[in-house]
Amino acid sequence: MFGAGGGTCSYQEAEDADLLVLWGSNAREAHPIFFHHVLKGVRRGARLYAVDPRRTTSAQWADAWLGIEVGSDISLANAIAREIIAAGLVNEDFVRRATTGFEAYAASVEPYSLQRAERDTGVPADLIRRLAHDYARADRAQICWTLGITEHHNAADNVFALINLALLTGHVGRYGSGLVPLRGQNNVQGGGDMGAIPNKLTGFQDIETDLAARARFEAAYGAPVPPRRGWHLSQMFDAMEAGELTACYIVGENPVRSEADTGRASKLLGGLKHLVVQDMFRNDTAELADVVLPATATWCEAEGTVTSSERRVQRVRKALEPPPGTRDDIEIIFDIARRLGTDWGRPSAEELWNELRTLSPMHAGMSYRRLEELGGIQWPCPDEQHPGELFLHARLWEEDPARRGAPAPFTPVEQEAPLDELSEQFPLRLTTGRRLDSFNTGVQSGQYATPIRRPETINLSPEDASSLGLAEGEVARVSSRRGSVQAPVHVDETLRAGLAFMTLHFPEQVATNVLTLDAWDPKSGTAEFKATAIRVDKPAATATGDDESQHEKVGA
Amino acid sequence: MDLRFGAAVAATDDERSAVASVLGPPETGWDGGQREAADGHAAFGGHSARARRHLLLPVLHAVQDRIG
Repeated sequence: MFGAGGGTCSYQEAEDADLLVLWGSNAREAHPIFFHHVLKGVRRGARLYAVDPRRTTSAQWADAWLGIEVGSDISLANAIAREIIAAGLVNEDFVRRATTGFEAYAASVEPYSLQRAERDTGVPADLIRRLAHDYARADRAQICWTLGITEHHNAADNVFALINLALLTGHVGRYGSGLVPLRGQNNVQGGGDMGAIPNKLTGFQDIETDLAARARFEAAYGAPVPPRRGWHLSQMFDAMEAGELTACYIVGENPVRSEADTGRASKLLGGLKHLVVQDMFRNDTAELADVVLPATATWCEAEGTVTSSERRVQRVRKALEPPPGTRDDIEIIFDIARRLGTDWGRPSAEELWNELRTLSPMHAGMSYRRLEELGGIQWPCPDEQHPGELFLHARLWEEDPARRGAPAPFTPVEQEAPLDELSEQFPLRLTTGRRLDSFNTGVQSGQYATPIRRPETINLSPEDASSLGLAEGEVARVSSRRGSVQAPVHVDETLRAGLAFMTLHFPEQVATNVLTLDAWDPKSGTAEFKATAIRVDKPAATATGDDESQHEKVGA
Repeated sequence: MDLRFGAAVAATDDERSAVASVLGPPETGWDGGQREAADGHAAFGGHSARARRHLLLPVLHAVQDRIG
């Protein structure tokens, strides 16, 4: 955000906020640690708003739930902005000193009246107005979001819409106020920080524009760093389709199950000339691989670090001996380098971390000793005297322009409907999400039992279940323009008519991502998992329920 | 009085009436009223709902008095 890929706040600030907005985030189930902090804030008097198509278990804690139509986030955010401007609630000092582009932004939100937002979102205009006024008037306010914002074809625009609200009200760069992107999977933050994104070196140093950083890496490694950004995941699949990508080395990921439109993903991965999978479980992607490299569990069988959504780097310690035949990821990668003719030695995790600290200024002060002593450190931490940053962008409040630095830009964005349009043939909107007891495609969490887990279902509103003649537990056929699956029905009172819900946790039982659309956001590369047009029918009497019948294609 | 958790068995009219005698009639589908389309886009609770927790026992007593 404003040049660094991390949230501006610390978790503890949620406890001291006056107002929290969970926007596209079922934090109670997907981020239970963070939600504990939210609850502490609520118990101290913070008001909680939830913006979500479903009245989730998080939304059930909220003072007000805004049940928006899937994919109408920008209309809502722009209408809130317009109302804040019209009511004279803009933080004018902050906008004048610390931002650019206000006039163009104000003009861009002008068409988004409360009435238009009510039409687009379904949320009553009065409630939108109430959120606008409460957010702008709060002393300390945060907007927290998760995949409900980012798993859309216009994900980056959704994020810009929320950032604009923080800039408009000055809710950034101060203790208790900020923008909190809760990461979609464990250590996504750490992966990005380490440079596992196509356009950044470690520490968010731009691979194309930061020539000095690239030179530092080249000097340290004694090898040139390609001067162009690479492909993100969605582009990789397009490149496979075009025949430009013919070999893939996948570490700790199960794209056969986790990608949108898994029918396409499986076909493309299966058609590669060479596929290597390195994972701690023999997952479905490994079944397609030419080579499988069994790895240790990085959270308990190896040394290293992990980084949370509050930018906190923490130590991970080896607590268990790994099973026979598995190897530490570092060992595997270095052994491959050796066999390719480059001996990098046999460094420990700490030695590799210290090398990273010499190349990534934001991690420079984070020795293993300090990470232990301080219980983790939040980046940036430029030297060993620095305690880490509790919150980011305090500079925006500096009086001195030189200390204030580059202003934060408003980014006007426009509402766009989901790409997978509802139609007579596909009249229901399916949105996907997570449950507390499970993780992603279930490769890890499916290995243990828990009393709160229940199998996959197609969740339908009471109205839709009734009109379709489907009862609780009855198996239904769910079809999209890409394929069809069968799943038991769960009648879910948190859904309104026209809205359905499934998870991706149980692909062996129901391959949900057969249904989802793999159209992706050109700015972020994220696919639109959250908005699929489906229809639900009683299955044909001849359906057997076996795997083949569950994954059939529809000829749409 | 039977305690029934979950929505599988709906509350009887007598039970609803007993609850309403303490809390007032339900205002939306979320608090026991008829489920309307508007309920699908907005709900209120949080502090205002928790501020009524002291009414839990009076409600239970009202139901017990009515149903036995």
